[in-house]
Amino acid sequence: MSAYFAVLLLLSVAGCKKAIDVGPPITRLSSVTVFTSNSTAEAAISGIFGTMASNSGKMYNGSSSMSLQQGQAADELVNYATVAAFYTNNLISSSSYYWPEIYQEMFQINSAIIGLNNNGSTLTPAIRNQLLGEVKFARAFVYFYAVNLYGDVPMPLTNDYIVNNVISRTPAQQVYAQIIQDLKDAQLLLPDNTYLSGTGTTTTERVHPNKQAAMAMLARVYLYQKDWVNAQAMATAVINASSYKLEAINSVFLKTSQEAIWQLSPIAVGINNADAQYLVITARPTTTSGQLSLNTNLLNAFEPGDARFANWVSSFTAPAQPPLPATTYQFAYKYKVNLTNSAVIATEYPMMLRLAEQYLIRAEAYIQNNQIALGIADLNTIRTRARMAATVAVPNPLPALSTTLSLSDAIDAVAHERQVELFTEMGHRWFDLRRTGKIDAVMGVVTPQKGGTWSSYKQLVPVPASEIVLNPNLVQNPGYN
Amino acid sequence: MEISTFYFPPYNVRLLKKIVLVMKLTTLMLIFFCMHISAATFGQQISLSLKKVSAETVFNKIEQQTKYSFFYTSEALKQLPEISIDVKNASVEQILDKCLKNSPLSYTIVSNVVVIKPKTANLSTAQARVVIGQVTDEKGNPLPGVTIKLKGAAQGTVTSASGQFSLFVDDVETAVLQFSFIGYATREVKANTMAGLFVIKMVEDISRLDEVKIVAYGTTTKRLSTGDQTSISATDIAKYPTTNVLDVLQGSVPGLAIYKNTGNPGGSYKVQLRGVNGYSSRPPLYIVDGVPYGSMNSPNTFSTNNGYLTQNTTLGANSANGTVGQGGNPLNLINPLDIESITVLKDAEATAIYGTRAADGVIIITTKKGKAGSLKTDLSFYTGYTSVTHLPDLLNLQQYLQMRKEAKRNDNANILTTDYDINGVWDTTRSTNWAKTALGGTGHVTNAQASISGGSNNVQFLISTGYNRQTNVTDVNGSDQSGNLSFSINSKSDNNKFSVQLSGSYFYNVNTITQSDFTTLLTLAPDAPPIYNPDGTLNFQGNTFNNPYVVKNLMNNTVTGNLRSSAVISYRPINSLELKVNLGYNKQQINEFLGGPSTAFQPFPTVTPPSSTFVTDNVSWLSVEPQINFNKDISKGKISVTVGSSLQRSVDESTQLKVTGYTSDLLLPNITAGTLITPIVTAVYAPYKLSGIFGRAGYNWDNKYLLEVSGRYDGSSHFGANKQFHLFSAVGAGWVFSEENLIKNNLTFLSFGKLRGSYGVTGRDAIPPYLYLDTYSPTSATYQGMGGLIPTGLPNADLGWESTTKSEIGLELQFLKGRIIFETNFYHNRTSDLLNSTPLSQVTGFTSIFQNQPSVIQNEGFDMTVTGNNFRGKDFSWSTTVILTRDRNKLISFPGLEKSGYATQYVIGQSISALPFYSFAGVNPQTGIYQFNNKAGAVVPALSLSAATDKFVYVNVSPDYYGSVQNSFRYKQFSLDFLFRFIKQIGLNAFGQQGTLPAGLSPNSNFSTIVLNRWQKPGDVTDIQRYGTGIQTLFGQSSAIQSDHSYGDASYIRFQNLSLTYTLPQPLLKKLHVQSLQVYVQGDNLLTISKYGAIDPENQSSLSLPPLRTITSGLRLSL
Repeated sequence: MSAYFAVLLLLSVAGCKKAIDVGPPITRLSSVTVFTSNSTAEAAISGIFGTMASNSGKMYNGSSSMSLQQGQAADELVNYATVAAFYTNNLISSSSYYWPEIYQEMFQINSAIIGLNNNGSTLTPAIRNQLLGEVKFARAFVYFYAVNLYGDVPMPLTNDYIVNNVISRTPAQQVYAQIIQDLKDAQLLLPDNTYLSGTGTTTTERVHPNKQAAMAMLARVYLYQKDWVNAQAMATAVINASSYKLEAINSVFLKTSQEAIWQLSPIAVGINNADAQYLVITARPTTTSGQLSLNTNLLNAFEPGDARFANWVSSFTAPAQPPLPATTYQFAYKYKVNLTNSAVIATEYPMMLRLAEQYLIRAEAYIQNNQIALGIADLNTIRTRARMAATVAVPNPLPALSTTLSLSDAIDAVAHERQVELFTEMGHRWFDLRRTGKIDAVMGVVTPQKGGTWSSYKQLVPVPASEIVLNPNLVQNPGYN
Repeated sequence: MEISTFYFPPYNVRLLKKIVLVMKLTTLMLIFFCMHISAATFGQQISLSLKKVSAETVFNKIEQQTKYSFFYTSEALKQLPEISIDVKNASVEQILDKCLKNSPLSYTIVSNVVVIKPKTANLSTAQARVVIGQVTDEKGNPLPGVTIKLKGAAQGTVTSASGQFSLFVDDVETAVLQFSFIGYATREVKANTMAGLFVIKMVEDISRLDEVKIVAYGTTTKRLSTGDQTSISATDIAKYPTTNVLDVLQGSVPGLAIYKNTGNPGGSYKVQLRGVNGYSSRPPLYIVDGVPYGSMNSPNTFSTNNGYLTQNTTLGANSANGTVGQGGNPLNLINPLDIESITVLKDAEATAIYGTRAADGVIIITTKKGKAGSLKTDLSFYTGYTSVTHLPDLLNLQQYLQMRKEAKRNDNANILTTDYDINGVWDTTRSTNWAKTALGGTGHVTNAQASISGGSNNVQFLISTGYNRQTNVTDVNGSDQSGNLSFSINSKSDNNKFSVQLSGSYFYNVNTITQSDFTTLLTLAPDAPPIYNPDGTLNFQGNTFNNPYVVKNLMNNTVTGNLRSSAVISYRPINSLELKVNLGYNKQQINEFLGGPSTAFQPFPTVTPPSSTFVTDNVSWLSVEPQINFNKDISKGKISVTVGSSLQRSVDESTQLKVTGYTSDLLLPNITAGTLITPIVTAVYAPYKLSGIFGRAGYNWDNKYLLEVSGRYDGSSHFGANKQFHLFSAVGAGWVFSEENLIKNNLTFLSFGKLRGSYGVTGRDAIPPYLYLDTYSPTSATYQGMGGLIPTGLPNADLGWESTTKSEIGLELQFLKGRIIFETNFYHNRTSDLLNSTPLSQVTGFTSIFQNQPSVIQNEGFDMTVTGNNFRGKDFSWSTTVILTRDRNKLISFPGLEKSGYATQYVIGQSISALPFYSFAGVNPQTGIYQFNNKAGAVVPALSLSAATDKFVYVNVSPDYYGSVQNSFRYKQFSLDFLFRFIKQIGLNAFGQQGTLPAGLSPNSNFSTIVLNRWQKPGDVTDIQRYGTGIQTLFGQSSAIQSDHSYGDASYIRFQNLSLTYTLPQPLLKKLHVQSLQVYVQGDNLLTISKYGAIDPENQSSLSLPPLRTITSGLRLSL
């Protein structure tokens, strides 16, 4: 009879819910628990910055970074690949470019903001404030680039896919308003004049944004908005903060740089800055090597006796290789270490915000506000740092600018100084050309030199065609199909 | 042959124990037995010298020295004292007299059987007796392994190697013996007629109506089944020189379409039973020995969001796949020659009892089991070679150089410093035929098998082992080797109430083939430099040549283990009732080491540091299925009921690690020798639990009216809390109209006719686990030394079962007692609540979400099988089987289609397999660039096309129809089998297999000779645009390969299989002292007749190795 019972027992077990309970996943965390403890909430924020700092295919450093791609699109870098969409200003809507990354990060950011807002009581208040400030800063930072690359962009502020799947593009002005709001929030929440690690302890590394990072970003946003008064005020506040000073020319991009306002922490061991792998040339570039040398237009922009040319530009001469003659390639050398070597501890971190830019922002704001002398003074501060010793060949290296320049000359001087100071950094040159309205004039000359044709619509990146298919509420940027 | 009967005492006969018939270990003895059995001399001389042993020992010794067999009860022997005996050349009678002296026992010798019995028994009145006989085929050859059953009772036996049997019968007057054997007509003989000289001749059964077929949770026969299934036997499998049994099924099963994705050893297959029920082809459920045969998703193809199991996807990681992501196949891990039979279940009636996961059909694999009889040793060996069947036509040196220069000229482009192929860096006077270099080689196959089987009526066993080694046809290093050891033990109690079946197998595969598919070498420029320098080192031509052979230095050591075990424990308290538990445990384990030494990468522009990848993947599957079976005759009918439950649990765990920072290439296999270990993807932990209750009731009225109802209530752990359980059910009915008197008497040529139909609902839960949960995963990326958490995906708490409603009607006819057999089936499926990943705008943060889509997909078709036993003579016979299948699917409804991510992909009323493409409008005669028809009807260049709206031409790539013709010839000792397979389809043609870059643009990139027909001057009308390097040709090319011009006729007829076997005749075998010996030649994929221009119409790829031709020869030996 026991056999009967055994079979009946087994029969009765099946069909009950317990029999199919597999428990929670052991390799993952339920989202409900993530924002209820300090350590997991911190890990979620590390996840956001880790995603941004990833060196593969991301827009902040590495092969797909704005530094490299927008540098090629503008007049900074030369590409040797057979097909180079950015270099020839020939973006197509069947490629996605920055779009997926922006919204992948935005989902992380919005989820974190919601999680932190909903679970305020279970987290230590100081930690919660810091984390919330960091993600709000991150949201503003990402949307700033989104709106400058794409123009009007969809601006999800939730992580609800039902809403976001049919969202329309938000006018750029509204996006800017949101950016400013987020940065102001971050300014209040983030630590002042000090850097905290992900776990809230004070560190020397400047890889988690602080109050000054939020203000520096605000200064830039006001500048782009042509709000000269606020731009000047914010830049001044950052310049006056005690933690920052202009470094010697070869210390600017080190991870110990006092000039850094915010750097990304490299996530891959052994890589300083993934940009350097493509910028620093050590062998003859091939169609597949991905190496980028400097465009003649940029090289010609340097004045004699500029330490930035001497130290931030270097060259490599490929020996003759019949029938190929010996060729010299000049390349960007802001970051010096280009090799991946896990045995070496990183010395250079990808620079996101630095003090020199704040001087340049303030200079431009002063000048645009007709306080030309004050503006020129700021430009001269930057030029002084870059001035080499006089030589016989260059008796008057990088002279100080006259404080009596005309308005238009002064505006040109700012643009020039930005070009030689901020080259191959985060697409500054491209975005400057766009916001100052010079892009058509400059690219109309440069693009044909690169083998492409220029049209004004090319100043914006196309929305991926697949996205328009999926969400009919999205419309393509003019000029693209 | 003599037949003898003798009588037994009626008491305690149920406990009668029959000792094992003499087992002969050597060929010599077996042949001696065959030849001398009828003339056995019973006055044999025995020498014994034994001290204080049991009577049983004495009898054993006598059996060893003579032909005598002993019958006795162990209880009776207890009455005997220990025996000491010392005799020389004594007769058996002398010894027995001595042993039984002064005991209550006596003996009787009938024929060569000695019966030990109590003296007091009155033999003459007993109705019980032991029946002894021999079974032969029509020609009089003894038939071993024939099952003999006492009708209406559980007891039975099996004939020995010499065809002999003996069976105890309770009541000789009423008993009827049933003789059955696969391929032969079942015979029934009354026990009381089996007197005197008696040999039972069995006649081959060409109708196969009563052959036992294994189906879901039971067995059936062709005559009585109400469902639709097809069976393949071990004999069919033995005709194929393959390591994956899917090669045998390809073309042999109506409704089953199988495509080989690659010719690389251990590669993957696309298996599609009865068309496509969802948005894409989905494999059927595999059941091996009653246990779901889970397999794992390829770790190589794990998406970063969801690494997941689950059942019936492809088993990957096996590095021989060549192209990463092509995965493998779980059946690569089962030795085909260990398989006894395969049943493919197709319709709802056959599959619904599996409820879950049966929507795409079920393939039941049963492994070989031991058979009663003397010890039998089978050995087989074959060896052969593999090769590519067709090399593509590519531009030769002149044509290539012409293409490059013309492209430059057309677009006024400069010859660049990197154009090594035409700027003089490479020698443009030497040329290499890369197709021949890459694919022209031969691979080798070696296979050896051995098995030992045998047993008594109560215990049977089988132990088998196999070894297989394959090398690749391309010039990669390494080999794919596998070995397996399998066993099975069947055992039952004397009273047949209790039985245990245990089987286990361990399969081990070591693959060291370089993980790279050299098919991609085809497109190297003809003037690309030589691979090797004169000194044998790899040539990089002054760092201008990306030498593809560097990958030969890649290291691969992938070890795969597959443990399968199953046990069936059954108890019959009464004859009509069976309690049974089926237990199963499978474990598949992959340990993969892929080493990338610095020598495996181009040494320029920088040296790549060495790194290695370590992958482990473990999938275990536990299954417990208790069930109760009840069978009873009621009036003229038979009722059968099965009730059971199923508890299953599986876990897939996988880790992939990349290790860098090695100081030496030699240390790469050592995971701890690197300084940095990083996960490639998050570790996978994919648990799965399934629990269900099932039942089936069948009624068979007079073998004429058949009805079956089945149902299953299943719960799956893959779904949200309120949607886990679902009820699936089916009903099937059959009418054997040939049993109706009207037909039986009037249409005598119709020997069998059955009409059957079924209707039911089956389900599917093959999705990743935890999709209903909102989770964060740890990421390998740290930020300032701190580990991060990132959202895993978009959760959907409402996920539930997908269901497919299936209906089918089948007609089975046999004429002239099976001389002509005809079967056809019409089926109609509708799938709803489709489990699918719905594309989302990336603005949501992800590209898709898993949902039960509201769409309905219809899938219908028919298949037809005609078998003609064309000629049957004594020396010559010929039979032909023709199979034809046609499947069609279409999207019936899709609420909100126009706003979904599928808006441009699918159209309501169209086939799911039809995909949208641009409309190709040839080459503009003026510009020489491709042009297209846009949706508005205008002819436009590529740049004016919109991906969103202008892809409006739908090309259906699912086959129009497919089938096979198989012929079998037997002439005396020769048998010849061959199968032609055909398929009518549209596929990716040579045009569509070009890259996205136009001809002539890239250095070192060759093209198919189709480009020779390019536009050259204004006014040329052609379908190939001009060579070029500019943006116009670039856009033209990338759009053209997304146009309908990329698809064309890919129909083919393939001489798929040939098997020629010579069986040595009996007299010769006797001289050789073996039971049977066959020598054979086999071939697979021998010839393809097709107008298809590219490499192979089956896998339609220019990047992966096509299915190979295999030719082997071997022998099979039974001792």
